[in-house]
Amino acid sequence: MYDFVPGKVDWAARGLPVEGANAGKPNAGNLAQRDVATCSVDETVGAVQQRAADKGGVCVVVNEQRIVFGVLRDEQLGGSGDAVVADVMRRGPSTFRPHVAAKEMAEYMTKHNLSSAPITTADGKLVGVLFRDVVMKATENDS
Amino acid sequence: MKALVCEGCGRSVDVCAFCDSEDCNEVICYRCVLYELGEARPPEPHTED
Repeated sequence: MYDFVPGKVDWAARGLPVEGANAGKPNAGNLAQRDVATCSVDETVGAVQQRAADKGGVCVVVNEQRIVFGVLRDEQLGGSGDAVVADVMRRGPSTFRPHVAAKEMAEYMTKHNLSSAPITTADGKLVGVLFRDVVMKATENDS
Repeated sequence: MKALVCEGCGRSVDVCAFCDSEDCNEVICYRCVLYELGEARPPEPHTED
């Protein structure tokens, strides 16, 4: 027997298997794009621009353990290529857990005009990036 | 600078906790985001023994 001490919400937040009425519904974790552009704080913007462009126009700034430090979006990626990522990134961006329902993410991303959102585990490790067009498509038939 | 207030609970915030924007028209605080997205449960009253 294994006693999962952190609790039920944290279990779901880690993207671990769950049962019940919401188990089969799309969520942020299973819709997130896993293959995303990442970079470290000491790279230059110029070094990551093409990488980000190839993966949806966003780059997540992580450390060696893939803990999210920041994010580079159009505004930062379109700036000077000589700038160091640490100086221009949006620090401590809002991140969301994999178990959050796709329908809720779609509603909030639309309401807040957010094109992408980093999805992380509860301890900040990058899972992927959820793009609004993907989550909107997945929930377009939901009532 | 415009004072931002959470639409859900009225708490003052520096930026919207959902979109990180200072110009958001639907400002929400971190605690309300957690409740709204089911990442945390609202506080429940303590029961008496």
